[in-house]
Amino acid sequence: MSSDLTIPEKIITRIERTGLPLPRNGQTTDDQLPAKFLNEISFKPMGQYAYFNERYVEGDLNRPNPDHVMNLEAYAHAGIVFAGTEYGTGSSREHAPQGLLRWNDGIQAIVAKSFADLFIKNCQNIGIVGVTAAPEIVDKLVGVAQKDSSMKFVLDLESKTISYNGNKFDVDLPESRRLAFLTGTWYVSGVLLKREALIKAKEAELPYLRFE
Amino acid sequence: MAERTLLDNVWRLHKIGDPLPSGEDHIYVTGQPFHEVTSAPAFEELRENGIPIRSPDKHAAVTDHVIPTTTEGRKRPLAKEKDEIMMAELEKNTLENKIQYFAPGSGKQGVCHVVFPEMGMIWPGTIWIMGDSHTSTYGAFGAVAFGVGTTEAGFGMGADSTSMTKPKVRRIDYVGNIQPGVSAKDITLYTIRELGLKAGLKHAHELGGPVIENMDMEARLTMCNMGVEINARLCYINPDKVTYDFLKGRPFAPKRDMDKLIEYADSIKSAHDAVYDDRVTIDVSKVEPMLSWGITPDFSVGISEKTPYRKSQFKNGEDPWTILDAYTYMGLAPGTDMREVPVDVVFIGSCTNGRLTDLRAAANILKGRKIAVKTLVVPGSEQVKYDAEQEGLDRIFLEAGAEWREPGCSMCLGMSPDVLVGYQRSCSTSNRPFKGRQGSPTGRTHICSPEMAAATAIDGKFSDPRKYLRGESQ
Repeated sequence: MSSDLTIPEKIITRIERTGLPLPRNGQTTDDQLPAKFLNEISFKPMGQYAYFNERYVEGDLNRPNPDHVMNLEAYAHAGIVFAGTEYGTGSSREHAPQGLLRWNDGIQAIVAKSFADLFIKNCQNIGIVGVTAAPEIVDKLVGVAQKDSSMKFVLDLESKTISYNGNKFDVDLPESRRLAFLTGTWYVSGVLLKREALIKAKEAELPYLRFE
Repeated sequence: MAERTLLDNVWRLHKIGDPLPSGEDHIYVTGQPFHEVTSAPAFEELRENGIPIRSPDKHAAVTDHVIPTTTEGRKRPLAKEKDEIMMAELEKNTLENKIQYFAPGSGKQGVCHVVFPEMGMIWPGTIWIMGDSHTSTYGAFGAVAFGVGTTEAGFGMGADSTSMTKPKVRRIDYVGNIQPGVSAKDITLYTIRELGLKAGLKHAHELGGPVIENMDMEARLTMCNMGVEINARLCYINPDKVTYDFLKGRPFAPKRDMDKLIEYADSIKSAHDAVYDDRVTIDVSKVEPMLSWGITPDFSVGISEKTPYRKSQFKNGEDPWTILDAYTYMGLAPGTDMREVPVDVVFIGSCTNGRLTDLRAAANILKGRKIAVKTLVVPGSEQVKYDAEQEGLDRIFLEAGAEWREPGCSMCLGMSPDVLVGYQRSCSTSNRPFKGRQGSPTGRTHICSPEMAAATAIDGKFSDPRKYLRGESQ
């Protein structure tokens, strides 16, 4: 998987990108990636379907919604989403974060007021850094990104902060997730596969595996 | 911190070695069911990384999401090229990896969460993951089952294990008497509205109490299926005689060792003195037939209530913009009596309410009556279809004017040819009233029980099923 987006740099400490304000609360994975696009056998084309129903009027590819932030040229290269509460609630589909990861230059981080558990786990598995911040901070970041699409934000996992233009705010994420990014072990598959001996030992212990 | 709950017991038994570098636990996974949609990219990822499936015989697959529900539509190749490619990919992936596949026409095809339970595949005290959020359904057997992303599902098949932090455990006790015309679906909608959409975050929900103990397996499956709609990672019910009786004799249940399985199941149940992170009691006596009015399942009302119009009616911190968004999208005004709102399509089916008892409940109301709007009745599996036809339920639906279809996810989500068009409004026994969920980006979905869906089909407007209950005023 040479240049594929699925496996970016394994160690993630700092992300410096412009912001994408998507402040509405309770955005579901159906909003992020409508179910009708789950009929692909690969994640590779997902970027074009991100937020499709909101980005196109009545689902018509020829009628882009001129007001949607993801259709504005000024935000075409954004890399950090600013979102509201319960971001990514609903269906488990990994297609949703894959759509964000593969949209234009790729979303690398999300700062939200809160996340749905499964969505944030899916993000971690593909290397999107999701952090939460106090509601007033997220509102501020949304405001700044709305006012100035070229503003660069720096998300720093070592200091757990996001900063722009001399302003710095605390963000939060579980310590285990932070360490996973800092050490590159967020990509757990490799870690699991290396524990074959332990997996075998567990199989010998579980009684029901031998029930006939 | 919860102690001695079923989740604690099963987690302890399945925990592999020390925690992972991420701080999460490494958890052994009993098996993985999968369907055509989320599995293809998982197999792609395994192939590209050169990772083999560790134990092909532990998994099984069905096609349900994209498969059409008409006999004509199921002819191969499927009409839509992408659907055909997806079906063919599932056939290829299962064949190449020697994983059993319940093909259409085999008598075993159907909606994944209907098929795997009815096959007796899900045993108490086991752990299941799947690239599907409604995997929580299997918790009805006292299994620990949760949806995972595609990447996790793929690597799960490579390592027969996954990584996860043990969620907190909230016990929800259901007490009181269920009123006539009220079923498991209504109780779950009521629960979500009472506790709020966010209540389940980072939690596993253990459902119990006399109401749950008296429920049959199919109602329990509905409860655990909807259990994820409150944002809980998983949901389960301690196994008991109902569970064991259901499993006995099913194709994948133990034949020789059923007693050993029961002994094992009894050993992992929550202890009487189990400690929970939180406890909630829900009195079901107050629950009437419910339906959703908004774009999330917590926005629901009892059929005799009006849609909320005062801020005080939102108890769980719902913000005004979301409420406004919901009313605007659904084309409704606050204070609406839902019994005056006409519907365009009625859908009876899905992994929530596509089982035999659900079809019986709908048929009981439709028998001898005529429907006023297009109504799709989609059995959850080929087995359910067969059983329903043995009882003559198909005749009741057809004579009422409804369509009797082949098994599949159908209108639950807009992936098969069964979709809403434009601003159509549906009354649906599925699980999610989200925007665009049923295929039209402007379509309006209201979720409810099979009883209410049947009554609504007759009236052409949302309707109180209690007025059609046999033996009562008709």
